[in-house]
Amino acid sequence: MGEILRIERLDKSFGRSMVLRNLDLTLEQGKVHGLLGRNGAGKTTLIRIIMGIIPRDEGSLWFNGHAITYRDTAYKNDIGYVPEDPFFYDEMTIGDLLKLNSSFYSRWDARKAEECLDRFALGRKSRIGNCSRGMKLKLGLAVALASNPELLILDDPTSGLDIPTRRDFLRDLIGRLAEEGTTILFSTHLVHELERIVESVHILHGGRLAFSGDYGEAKRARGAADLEDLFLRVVA
Amino acid sequence: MFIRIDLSSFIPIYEQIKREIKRRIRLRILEPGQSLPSIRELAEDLLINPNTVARAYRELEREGAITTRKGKGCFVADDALASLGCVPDESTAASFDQAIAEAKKSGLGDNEIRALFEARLRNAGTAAENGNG
Amino acid sequence: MMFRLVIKEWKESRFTALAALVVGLGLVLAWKVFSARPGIGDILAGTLFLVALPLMAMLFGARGFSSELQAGTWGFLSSRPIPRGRIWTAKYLSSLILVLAIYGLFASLTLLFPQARNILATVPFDYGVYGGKSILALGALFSVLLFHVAFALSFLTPKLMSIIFVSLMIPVGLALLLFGYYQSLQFLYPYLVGLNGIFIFVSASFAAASLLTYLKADLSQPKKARALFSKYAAGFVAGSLVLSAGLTWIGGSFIGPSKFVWNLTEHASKVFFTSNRGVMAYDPAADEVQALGKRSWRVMPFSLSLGGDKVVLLNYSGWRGMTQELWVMDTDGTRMKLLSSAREKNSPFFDHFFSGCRVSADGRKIALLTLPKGSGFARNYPCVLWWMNADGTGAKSLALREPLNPKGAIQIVGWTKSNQGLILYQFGNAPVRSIPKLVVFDLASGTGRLIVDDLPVFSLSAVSPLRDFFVRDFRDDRDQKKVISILDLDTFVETEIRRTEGLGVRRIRWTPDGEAFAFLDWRGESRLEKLFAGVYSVRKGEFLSLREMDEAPISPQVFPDIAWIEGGAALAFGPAGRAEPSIEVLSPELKVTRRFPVPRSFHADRMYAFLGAGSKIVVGVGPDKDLWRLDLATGGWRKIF
Repeated sequence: MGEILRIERLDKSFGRSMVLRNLDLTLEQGKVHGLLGRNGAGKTTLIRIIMGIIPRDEGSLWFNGHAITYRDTAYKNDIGYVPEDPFFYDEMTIGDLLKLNSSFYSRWDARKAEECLDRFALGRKSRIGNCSRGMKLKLGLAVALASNPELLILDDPTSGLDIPTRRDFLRDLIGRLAEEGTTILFSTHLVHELERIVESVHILHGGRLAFSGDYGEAKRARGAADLEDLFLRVVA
Repeated sequence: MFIRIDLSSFIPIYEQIKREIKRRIRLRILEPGQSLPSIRELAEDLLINPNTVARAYRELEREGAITTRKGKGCFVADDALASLGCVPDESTAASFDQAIAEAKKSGLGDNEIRALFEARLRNAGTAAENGNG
Repeated sequence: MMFRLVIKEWKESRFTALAALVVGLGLVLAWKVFSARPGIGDILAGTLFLVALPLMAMLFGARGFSSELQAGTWGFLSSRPIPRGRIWTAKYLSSLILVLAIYGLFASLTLLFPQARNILATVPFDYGVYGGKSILALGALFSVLLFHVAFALSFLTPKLMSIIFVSLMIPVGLALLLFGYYQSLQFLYPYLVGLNGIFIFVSASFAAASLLTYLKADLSQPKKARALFSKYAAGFVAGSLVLSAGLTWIGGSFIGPSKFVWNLTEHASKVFFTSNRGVMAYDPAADEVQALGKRSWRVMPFSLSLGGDKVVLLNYSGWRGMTQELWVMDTDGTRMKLLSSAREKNSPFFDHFFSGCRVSADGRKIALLTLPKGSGFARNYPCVLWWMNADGTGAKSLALREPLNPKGAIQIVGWTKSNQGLILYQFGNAPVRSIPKLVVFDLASGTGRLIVDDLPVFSLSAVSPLRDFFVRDFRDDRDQKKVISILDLDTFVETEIRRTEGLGVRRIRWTPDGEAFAFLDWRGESRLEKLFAGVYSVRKGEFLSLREMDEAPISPQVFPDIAWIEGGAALAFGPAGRAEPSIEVLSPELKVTRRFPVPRSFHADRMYAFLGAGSKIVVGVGPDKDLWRLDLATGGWRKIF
């Protein structure tokens, strides 16, 4: 089992507040990693730094063994990213968005994109601005999956959605996992869902990783009843 | 296939799956040779990590409860019951040995013995049905 | 990938593009409707290219990235495997191409209409600096600049209004700079590679700063991004100024300020003029242009004067260009002498601003006006009149007063014939705002005498070379007729020589010996209808010839002009004519004896000078200030400057 992502000594400040300090994180390939933390703990910031959306102040990042700088963008070809607020162009149609994305990714699978659209009941001609939040989420997932990524990063994508939609989303993720063995980094504070699939838990607290390890073992070692319990025990 | 998973139990999920499948095999709810849902199907049904299902299946296979046939999927092992410790008792085996020895003495070949056995088994089944009503 | 990004950008800008096209077409239609009325056509055309299209360019730039910032889609783009530079480039190119395409569309539309072409493509829009550019060119440069500024800003804030506001500061600032409110900054202009270069340099600076900022900054922290951008932009712009100044310094006029030609004068059978390469003289006999004096001299309009064998000029020198030097030299360029400088502490001219110099017709006396420096328009100080011998000795002064408004806007016309007085013309415009008038000051008594009150239009060519006569026309209020009169500048007696319905002396040219003058006038503005020409001999006191020219010129952009050639035996006249503008040589009876077609390339350009020199005609053409000569013997044209 290799490492798909390694972060060392990451620092990031916004103005005078240091959001991430000296953070180390390693993600094993092929597993489902849960990233937990309170609101404002820096989960989204960390993910944005991994995705190269914002620059880091200090620290190193390796993806699949290659060192990554802010200027590098080629590695993003292998990462699928579903953000919390799907940022899409309201004026575009779903089909246009897929076409646009297809030109960016080298392993884009148009057939898979079609399957996703069918499965999620999304119409090619629908204008994105007219889509509900749930539809946008599914679209985001479709885009992420169709690019055949090695790493799938989900930044709290399901908050605010109803339970059936969240279930569907989870099911699709699981299907993906079963098929491809993609590594998943799932950041959320809805621990109940994460509970079911997580293998490695990483808890962000005080700008650092307060805990990082196998869920099963952690649960036993700390005597936690569930993920929420584990979280509370760690950050207390 | 629905299996109730208790997330807050101290028993890991894969263990819960294993136990449940074994239970069903013992109770003959799952017959030997019966196909099991694929890893993906079960994971999607239960909404759990396929790796967890995979681990459960792997260990079940190692323990002899199930077998995987390439391209075909997972099935309850033919000798699952035996592997699970549901072996028939010594006396039944001894009776069979005796009957076979006598049959051979009568000059019956293997196939004939088998055919006779089948007929008697069928008969016993019908009688059981007729008899018990 | 790039292609898809560009298409996406274009799809998103389609509304802005549509709006721009609609507004532009509206202006074009309005222009068509109003083109009959003079003035409005110019205003509409100017508005389209100098206001509407640059604003459109700015809007395209402004929406460049701000829409992404607003919608949050910048995160989408940033998380794709697209090189950052490519995202920036796709936006930049797609918007710039649209801007240039729309501008080009309107520019080419107007080139289809000849009337429009004239106004827009040829007439230099003089924005107060050396070498104005045509409205089309200026509008393009302006659009490019506004686009770049707005585009660069669009990465720093999602608020469209803020971007627009800051971008508009640029034209406002430029206008203030150019229209001289900060006169002290005018020294910069020669070093800005003709102001046009600066448009390009600053645009490139903003683009470079924007790209670098996008590559390095954290767009989720706008304050930091803005700070970074400001550093880059300031650095690049400063670098541009330095580069520009350096280029000018090294290349001199080669890459220096754009070409200009001023003070064209015929004298002693040669044509003198001042340019970005100093003082030059065209000798028709040798058929070549010679440089006189120092190449570094910068001589402003009305600062070159020729008399006898002397040339007198004011050199606007020094780092600030505001330190003037009074020089005299012979007409062959020898015996240069610095008479005085505003830099010399002991000189009475120290720290004064010279305003025009004139040498007497015999080359023996020099007169000039001064204003104390630092007073802008010299509101509170009087103009002082100075005069001296041509060798700089015997300098005397006289503070101007009645009948002149001593606050300024005065031009020295020349010395009187006897060298005892100076003829001065006072403009009616700012800051004085008085009635324009012509005045003679007697230097011995120091008194001024009003010779013509209310003279709104004045041309130096109306005064005879020996300064003994002044020709003008005016409308007689009693019978509404146009009167042409000659004023004797010694006796101050005005003699009427003609009284007609409507034609006067719109163009007038004296012979070099001051014996006679030729004049032209015409009726019609956008379409010339009638053309009159005449020659009047002052010595004989009668018209030598006077007639209505048969072939009225059609094209409005080539106004007729007159020059004397070949010892006054004939007049050259033109470009005029039907479809083929040409120069016509006339007999003394004003009959066309020969006709020389004007080169095709002149047709659309404005002629700004038309002078005779021996058997040659010198013509100044076009916004590039070229000088051409026509050899009347061979009919050949050659560019001499």
